[in-house]
Amino acid sequence: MTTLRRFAPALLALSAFLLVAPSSEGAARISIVVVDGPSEGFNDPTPAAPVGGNTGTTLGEQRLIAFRHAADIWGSTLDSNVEIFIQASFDSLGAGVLGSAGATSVFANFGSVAPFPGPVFPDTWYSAALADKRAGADLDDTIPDIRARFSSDFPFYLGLDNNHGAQYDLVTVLLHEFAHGLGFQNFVNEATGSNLGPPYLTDVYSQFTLDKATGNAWATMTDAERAASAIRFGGVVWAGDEVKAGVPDVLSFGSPFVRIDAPPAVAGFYQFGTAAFGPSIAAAPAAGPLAYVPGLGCGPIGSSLAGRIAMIDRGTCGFAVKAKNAQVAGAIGVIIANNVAGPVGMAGADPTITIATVSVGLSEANAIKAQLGVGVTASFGVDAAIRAGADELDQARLYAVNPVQLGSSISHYDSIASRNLLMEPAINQDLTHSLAPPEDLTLPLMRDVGWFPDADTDGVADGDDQCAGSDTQPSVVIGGCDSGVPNTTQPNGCTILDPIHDCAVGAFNHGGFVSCVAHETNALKKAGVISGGQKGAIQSCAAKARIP
Amino acid sequence: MTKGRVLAYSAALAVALAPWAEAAPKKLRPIAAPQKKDAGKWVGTRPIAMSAGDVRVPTAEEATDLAASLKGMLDRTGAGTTPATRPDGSLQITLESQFGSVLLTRPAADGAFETRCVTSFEEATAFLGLIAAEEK
Repeated sequence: MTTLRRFAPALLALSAFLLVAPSSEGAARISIVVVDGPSEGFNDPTPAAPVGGNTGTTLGEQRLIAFRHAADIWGSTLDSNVEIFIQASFDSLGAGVLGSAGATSVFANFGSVAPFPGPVFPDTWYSAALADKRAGADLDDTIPDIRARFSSDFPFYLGLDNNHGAQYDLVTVLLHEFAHGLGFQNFVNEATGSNLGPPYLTDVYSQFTLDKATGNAWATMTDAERAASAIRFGGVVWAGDEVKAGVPDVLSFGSPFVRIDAPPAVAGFYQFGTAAFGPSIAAAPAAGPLAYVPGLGCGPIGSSLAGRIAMIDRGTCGFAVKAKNAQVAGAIGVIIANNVAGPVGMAGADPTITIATVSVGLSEANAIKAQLGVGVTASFGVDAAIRAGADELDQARLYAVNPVQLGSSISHYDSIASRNLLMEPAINQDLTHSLAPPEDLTLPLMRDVGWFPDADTDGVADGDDQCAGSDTQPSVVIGGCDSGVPNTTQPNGCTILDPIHDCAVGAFNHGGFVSCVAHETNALKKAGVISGGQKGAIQSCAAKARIP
Repeated sequence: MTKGRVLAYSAALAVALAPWAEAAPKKLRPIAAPQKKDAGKWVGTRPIAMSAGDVRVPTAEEATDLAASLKGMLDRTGAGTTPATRPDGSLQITLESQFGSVLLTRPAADGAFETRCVTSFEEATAFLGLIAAEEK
């Protein structure tokens, strides 16, 4: 949360008697570090009417409120005892550019303050905010953890209520970009497969990036293997348990596909574009031999295409014209061969078209056409047994496309996902501001990379924490008496103060309280947690306190 | 031990909760905005949003300038980052403005705008319809 969450120390300082009211809030404090100059960006004085719960009265105020709202959503979702700093500005970024963001540094092999766990994987890069969380300390307090620049040239919807209509919802955009900075990204150059370095180490995201064809995680692959995997459409999935557990709650059954079934040289699933005309592939699936239509299919097709899927090159006439001509010739479906890299979304209108049309990229089409001599069979439709955006094992698909699209290829969920997910490459209009199932799969991925739940931010994951609501103030203070003993956290998640709290709650009289504290501190001394002198200091404070 | 351990025995005590304030701002070194990098000459092939309400095909000069901006924003080479071995033996690379993502927009066929989050120069130019001048 972006307001201070730890009120217990202040509370104690004001009360001579109250032991403590420990914070029950977990969360992470995220602060926005504004670097705009006067009268620009966040300081833009242009008057603005309140919108969608955003009460700012200037454009700059509204931008900051929207930023803080997005930071609050993330802050209330993740737990960390280390403040996260996001450097933010609004600038003129150029045509077509809405914003940019990312982590400012990465760490590997870092230590931790006990009982914080440190990194799970050795020799593995962690983005700064995540590394800090697992270290229990700010590993570099001289720079912000995340940077975010957004365009001052384009109007964002600045309301907080997601009622953005056709506008760009700034809060949604920020949630997406902050996620990258918090750990939803790899640090691989996917064109070469090279890891970040020197030293050239893998990253924690790649530890969970699984290539289905080889069964290997990206972290264990060679550069060449990663580069090959990055262009394996539908073949790269997220292998983390948290995401896998969340998939059934988020993604619906019915995975659309375009597949070449034979010959083996080109068999497999293909990235495809869809058409604005005709039925969808769900409504009009097709399977059969592929027939290439010479020329461009802009006029009547002389030969019969009965029972066949037509492949037609893009160009000269509209996509709908080609599809209609193929339909008249008896085709049961159409695959458009694009004339540039990647598939194309096909505009057009013709209500008489009753077969489905899809497109594939130029290089894929050329590979398929090269096999026509031995016979190619194809199919497209919807696999009702597989969730859209996952594989048959409910592992979420990552965005691997061919041709390689560096970075975006793997650092997003697959755009085939349904429902739409926050971390697809496109910011879809129907997204909510939720990060967790049943609306979204962003939080589960964060859990997998190491953002473990830790409500009292003491460094022990909630599932292992025997004192999930620990009092984590720095020293052992009882009824206003500061013993000077550091209030350390034990591996079981309990601080020294935690059992003393229980003594206070359970004691019928002061003597009982003091006796209980003595018992607890004796045990702590016996366990080597505190010294004899520290035990005496705590017991002395307990004796002085008016408890109960 | 219960999570909401607000102690019952303190009920008789008057406690004033001080409003909590933001911590004193830390001295943080600002991360510099990425600089434009020479990407050669480029041309536009499709309308894009030059600014709010100005949707058109960029001129060759505008396309070249935009490509230079994107090249700087989407640097993923690692060149210019700062690796360091810290006193405790841990490793750090200060990325500055590298390895970030860039959110782009372009008008779609139906008149609406579509967005794409990219992390490579190649995908950015493809999405915005920029092609190298020599490829034209």
